Amino acid sequence: MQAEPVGAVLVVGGGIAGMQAALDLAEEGFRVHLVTREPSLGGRMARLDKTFPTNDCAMCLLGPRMGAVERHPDIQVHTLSELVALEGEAGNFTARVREEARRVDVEACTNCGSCWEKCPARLDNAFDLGQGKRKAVGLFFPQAVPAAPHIVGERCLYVQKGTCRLCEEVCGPGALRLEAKGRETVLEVGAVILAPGSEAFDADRRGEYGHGVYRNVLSAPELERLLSPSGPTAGEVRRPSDGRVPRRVAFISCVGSRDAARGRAYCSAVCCMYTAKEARLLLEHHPATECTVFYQDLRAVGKGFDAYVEGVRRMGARYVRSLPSALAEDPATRNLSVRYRDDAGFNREEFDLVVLAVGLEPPARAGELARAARIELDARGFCRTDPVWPGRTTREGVLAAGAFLGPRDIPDTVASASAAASQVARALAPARGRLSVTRVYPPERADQGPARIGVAVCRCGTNIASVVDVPRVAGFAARLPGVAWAGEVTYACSQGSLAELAAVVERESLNRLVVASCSIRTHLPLFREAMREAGLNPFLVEMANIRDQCSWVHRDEPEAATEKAEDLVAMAAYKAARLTPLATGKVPVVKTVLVVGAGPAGLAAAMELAGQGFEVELVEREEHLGGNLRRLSRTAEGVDAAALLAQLEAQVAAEPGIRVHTLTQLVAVGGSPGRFHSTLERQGARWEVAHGAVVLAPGTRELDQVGYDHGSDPRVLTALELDQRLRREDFAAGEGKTTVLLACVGSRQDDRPYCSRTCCIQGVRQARELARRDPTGRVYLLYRDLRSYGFWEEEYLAAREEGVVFLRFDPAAPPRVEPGETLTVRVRDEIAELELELAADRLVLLAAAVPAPGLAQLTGLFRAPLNAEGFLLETHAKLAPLESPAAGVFLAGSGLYPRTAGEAMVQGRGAAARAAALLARGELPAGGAVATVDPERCAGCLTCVRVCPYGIPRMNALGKAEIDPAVCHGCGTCVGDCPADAIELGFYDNRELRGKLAGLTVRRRSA
Amino acid sequence: MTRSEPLLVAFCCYWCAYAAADLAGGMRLSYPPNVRVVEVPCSGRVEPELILRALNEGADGVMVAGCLEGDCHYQRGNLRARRRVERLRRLLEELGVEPERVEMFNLSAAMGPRFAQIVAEMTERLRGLPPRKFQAVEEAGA
Repeated sequence: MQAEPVGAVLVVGGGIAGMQAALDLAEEGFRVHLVTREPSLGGRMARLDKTFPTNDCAMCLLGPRMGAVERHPDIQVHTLSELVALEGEAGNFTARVREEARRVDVEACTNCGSCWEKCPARLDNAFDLGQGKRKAVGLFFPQAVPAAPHIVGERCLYVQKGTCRLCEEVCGPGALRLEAKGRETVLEVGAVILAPGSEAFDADRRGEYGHGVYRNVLSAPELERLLSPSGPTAGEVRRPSDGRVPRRVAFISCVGSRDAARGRAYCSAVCCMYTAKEARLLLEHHPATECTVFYQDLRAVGKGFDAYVEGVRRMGARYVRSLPSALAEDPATRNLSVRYRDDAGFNREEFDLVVLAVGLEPPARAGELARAARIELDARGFCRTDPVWPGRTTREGVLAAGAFLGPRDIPDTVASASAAASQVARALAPARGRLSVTRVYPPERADQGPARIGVAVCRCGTNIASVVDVPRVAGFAARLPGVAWAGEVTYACSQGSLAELAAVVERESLNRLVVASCSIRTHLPLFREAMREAGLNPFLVEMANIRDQCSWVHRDEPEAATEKAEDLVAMAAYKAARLTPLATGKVPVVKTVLVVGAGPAGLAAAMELAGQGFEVELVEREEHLGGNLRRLSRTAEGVDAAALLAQLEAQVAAEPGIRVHTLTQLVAVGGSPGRFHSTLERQGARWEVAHGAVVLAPGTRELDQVGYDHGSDPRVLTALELDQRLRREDFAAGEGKTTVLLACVGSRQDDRPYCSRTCCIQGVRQARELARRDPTGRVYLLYRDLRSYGFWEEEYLAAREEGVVFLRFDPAAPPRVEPGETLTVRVRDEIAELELELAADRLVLLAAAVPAPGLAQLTGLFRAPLNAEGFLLETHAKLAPLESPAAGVFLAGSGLYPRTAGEAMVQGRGAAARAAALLARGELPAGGAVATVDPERCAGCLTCVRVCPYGIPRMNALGKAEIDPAVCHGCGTCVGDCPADAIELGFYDNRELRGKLAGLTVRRRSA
Repeated sequence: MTRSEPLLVAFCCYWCAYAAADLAGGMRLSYPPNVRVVEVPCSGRVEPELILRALNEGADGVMVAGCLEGDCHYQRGNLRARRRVERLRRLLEELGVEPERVEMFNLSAAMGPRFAQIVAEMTERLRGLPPRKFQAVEEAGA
């Protein structure tokens, strides 16, 4: 690589992985080009109604994330685009990107909707998977970002026949570009992240289930769109054949997964859970629905997943362990008769609706992308990667993230994206900040004298003006107290209008601005920015939403809509008069990160951070680095643990930025995010370190109270004990012995309800290893659900091929072990329906992983919460899986929830990226719309300390509460609860909100 | 026309309820024009005093709308809001004001149709109430 790499990155994919990587890199000071083939950001997640296991609304999570990407000055989004060639080398690539014509100028478009209202060409809505219709010009989905329509050329009358042009005629701002052609752009970038996601298996390929033939057979993604309140049926699920609400619904699992015959031997890792979620949503909509889930193994391998499935069962879902062999439709009723076999033999049962839980496949154009980027795919068609460095492709400088690496859920996708961003940030560290945009604003004018409010009433072409009497509203506004200027604008958000408004502010000496137009969500940042450029404090701008919340929803009532618009303008003006300028400052941060725990996650985090130029204090309570890597023979990924650890230790030792503290504990934490000072203790000696952020990577240990005479009978081992022995290559070699591995020891039981995630796959690996070393011996693995998720399913298949015997037991009748000359293991095999007696020489207990001791004490120092099971709690289970609600605290590894070493390292790298994004600029933005305590009024009652969701208020030496403006999230919960009215919230203070309410009846009273 | 219609103030959280109201517009749904949305960062920001203030300023009813439970952008602000609204409703009842004038709702950003429905239902309910007793409310707010 040359000395100075290019400080720009190409990210391919606009889903959550691409967006996460783009945001991380942009925050760290790199220029990002985000390329997506779709007309909008969002990816697969945009098509989801809710997400498991929190039942969060997907769009609620995604909307703000898409907006953040679009608004970031260092991210350029290229929609309808794909990478066609990548020349050059790591640090200095030339990427050719081909962009399909959108035929709508995103900059000029105001997303008013006139074009698609008039467009005569209807087609199946691809976003809703063909359920419902759209127009040839239209939004990809209602919340699309960028918020502008695109034209489907194949169905546009002008593009096809040269006729129509209605959209062009009705477009006020002249944003249509019907003649536009696709074009190619050349981008110079230092690195590339490929995050094209995955594709749902085409359910038609499982012909026996009749999808595409029987109308009442849906794929799960199709059902998801029907469940969505903004989907084609507004959230009401009805049978396609007759519009009836289905009463009896069957879900069939593993369609296109665990299916070697169709080249899909792997498990898709997400279907068990999304099936449970969809069943739950159906039951929530209609509690009387009879949901039946046909499944093979219930793979609830994630935090809170088993509890979630239990909840769905309690709501009434029936789980049947069987995969139906065929479906048949009753031609009269269109009901579906499902044939399956269970304990009682063959059954036939009728359902109103059948849902196929389809698996995940490589993205449709993975081959083209691989050729363009010159990387290799694996045999399944996913991205080929390195087991120690998941995310590395076969080409240096090209990383991959998300489901392109293999099926995975949202948090794992986000973690892998942050991990890829971290590796890029490390490689391009010398060029950080080179190409990022820094805006310079004119000095802010002092806020003095009485309020001189300007009110701009937007016509939005005809969007507002065709319903609301805009001149009347502007005239009304001009008469309001404090209003010095009021006028109409055609499109307030156009560049021309913004410049005009800035000129009016100057000419009329305005010190407040009200824009009556559309939504604060999409447009307040724009108007704030414009006023900042005009020398006005950005918090002196207020909006009235007279479009989305007025003209668009009261189209048949122009008089009432006009009156409402006047009220909203009066309320905004009254609030504007009471606004105060808010200071936004920067507080310097310490560019050092404390990493607690030196297992695989902590080591990976430390190395990434040091590689990016941060100082690292690495704290480990044990004598040596490595955590559980020291005890394993191989990681779940099959990597030699001792060799990996030796490599990691050498890398840490060679990294001057890392200070290693073994046999050391953290005993006290002071300061605040960006400026923590923590006390470390080693053998009685204490000292203090300053750091800006912390990565907690505490790991798990194996459960020790496992029963089965473990500890007294030397033939009974835990999985880790077996692995320690397996480190010796000659252990168990050719001894002709019988080993029984027993899964779920201590997991999935009343006092420890979670699945420990890694035991099944580690057990499969150990079983294969024993079978290889001892070909004359026998190996049995006794399990409840064989949870070899993702590509590990292929290891499970291989183990069966190699002669390992898998026996499923019922948790109600667990295997019994009787000591004697041999260990007699009695188990009822649920598949063969036989009571078996195994004479074992060795019993291996696949024991639960439990949180490391002392974790609550450690996290208490940072006020980082734990969940009910004692694992670290993340800010958000889906989109912020590596952050603690406690500011400045990042999380990685098994302390969050049990993980394989490879997964833990991905999380470590991801947490490093998140910490780096916080600290990279050397300062934290502070202030703005945050809470401030008035010490005069504070009674020191601790209410704010108690109610703050982030534990930010602290009591000072005078017994008064203090809120750090650098970390306050600005929710106002403390303001709402403070009994002394002592807390103010910027932009939403009592004065301002009460002012807004005072404007409520101004019009009525003046009329 | 509208003068006889009840006036409804909707405190909507920025992240979900306000977004749902926007979506109702984006989907070109229709609902009664007597609602005035006041956006707040989180429904947890809304204190009883603010609700009473809205009633004092002439609102016939107040709805507080936050994210779905368990789904709050700020973790649990919406739960605090619900508790406060419930407390206030009990207080209103003691004061002889119909508690149905104040109600808490939970919405996701994708629930545009639900927002429209809530406004319609709440309006209908307010139409059925007798003229409001301003005096009692003002005392409570003071």
